[in-house]
Amino acid sequence: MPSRTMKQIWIPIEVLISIFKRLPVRTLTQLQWVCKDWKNLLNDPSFIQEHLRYSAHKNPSLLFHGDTLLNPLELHVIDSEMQVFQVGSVPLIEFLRGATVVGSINGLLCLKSNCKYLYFLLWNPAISKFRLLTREANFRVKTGFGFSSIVNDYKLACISYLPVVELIDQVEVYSLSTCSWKAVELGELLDGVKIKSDGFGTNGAIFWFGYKGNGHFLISYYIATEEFALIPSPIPGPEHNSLCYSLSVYENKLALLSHTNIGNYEYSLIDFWVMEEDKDRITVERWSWTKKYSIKHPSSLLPGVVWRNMIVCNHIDMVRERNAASVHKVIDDGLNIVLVNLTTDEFKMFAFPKCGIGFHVFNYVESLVPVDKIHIEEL
Amino acid sequence: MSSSVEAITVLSSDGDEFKITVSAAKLSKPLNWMLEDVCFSDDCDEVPTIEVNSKTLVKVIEYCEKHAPRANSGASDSDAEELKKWDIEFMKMDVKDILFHILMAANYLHMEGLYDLACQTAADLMKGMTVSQIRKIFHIKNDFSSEEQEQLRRQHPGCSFD
Repeated sequence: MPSRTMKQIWIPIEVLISIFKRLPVRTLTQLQWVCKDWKNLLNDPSFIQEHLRYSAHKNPSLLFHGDTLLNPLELHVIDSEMQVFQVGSVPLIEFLRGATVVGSINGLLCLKSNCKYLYFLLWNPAISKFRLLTREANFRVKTGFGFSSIVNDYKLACISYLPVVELIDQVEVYSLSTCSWKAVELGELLDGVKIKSDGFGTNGAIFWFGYKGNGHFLISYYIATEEFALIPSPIPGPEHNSLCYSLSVYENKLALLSHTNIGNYEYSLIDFWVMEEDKDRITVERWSWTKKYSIKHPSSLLPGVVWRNMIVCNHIDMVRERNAASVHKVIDDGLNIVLVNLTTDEFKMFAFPKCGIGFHVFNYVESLVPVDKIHIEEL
Repeated sequence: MSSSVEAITVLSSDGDEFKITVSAAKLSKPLNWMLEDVCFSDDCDEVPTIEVNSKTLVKVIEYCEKHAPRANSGASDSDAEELKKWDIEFMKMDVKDILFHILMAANYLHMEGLYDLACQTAADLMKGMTVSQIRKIFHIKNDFSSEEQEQLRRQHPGCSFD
């Protein structure tokens, strides 16, 4: 499908792709109007994938939102040049009271709102496409959103647990390619397992913190095989005095960030672990953790995600009040973010707008990935 | 190839002769292969033709000569900065006139650096253009029927065919 240009020059399709993949989604949406050939090219799954891969490499961004208990969900993106802009308004926001982001993969966001009904919004904000899922309200559910390149599908997993004892009770998974929910067999593996966090999807699996007896684990759900595994955790889970823990990705591997307060909130300790998986092994030796980084900081830094070569932390001063629980207070200068550079050990303070005290942060990349027909291959 | 050769002569598609130093020619894989070929030995007078027009070839050679010292020896960060600035100036050219010719020449001559630079320049230009301006520089006809345009307009309010 070469396009004619200038006098004797034909621009072959691979050259057009080399130009197009460098363009932002906003421009590409316009380019569909140029001619039918371009429209087809821009909707081609292999182009969408190439554009995604290039953007993820060249312009890895962050998506964040503040506490949604008081305010309606408002999303902001910060790009690799530290430019902050607001993401277009959330569709169907009137249904999505108290909505939070469950996950962000390949430009697709999964939002959850748990009020009268349990709503999930699968949404690509860059191309303004979305899909709304409705379930019965369930206040004892932990969710996770992930993608597997093997089956080329996005899945949303909901793990329900029993009241008080927190034991896993039921697992339901929604597949974007089949547009349907399915109950997943729990098997003996999850007997007696308690779930402690929402899930994080990466590398074809979704991971949750959990424990069984005295052992702390990551519960992993493999999207392609629909199997679970319990991965020994390198740190005691959230039951322990680690105040904050979070999962992220570092060099395409699962990363675990933990935060512990030392002394009477005198300083915080952040540990950064990376997991290796040897898929040829089936025992617990299949997984191994390496501590990559450890840092002390004189105020409370709650680590969120790894972004480029930095750990993005929520900067909170902890104030202990007498006869009261800990009170979180934003430090006065409004610099609510600390970026810890993993290469140089430097700290950089940064102010994210409209986030208030606690905020949630996700890795994000703008993409053309459709929400209706999913046929992207490997990232 | 004789070690005494420091520059080679090539012909453009218009038949003009150009000189390019050996170190600069090494930036292009096909030219590099030619260098190893007998046709550049001292006792050979056959001049190879490069399928790039004269106007474009002048620019391509200018780029090669500028980038050759760094490509061959590596360079400090300040040199890299300076080269980046030079690239930006170098790319300030008339799109319709020559940018796409440079792009195609870089593709044909397997010059990764120049190809990336030209693609990025083209992309940056397109960011600020309207649909009809893009059609003009790519010489593309609007082949949507009025019904299809109407349908697209409904699906993408705010977008424009013009």
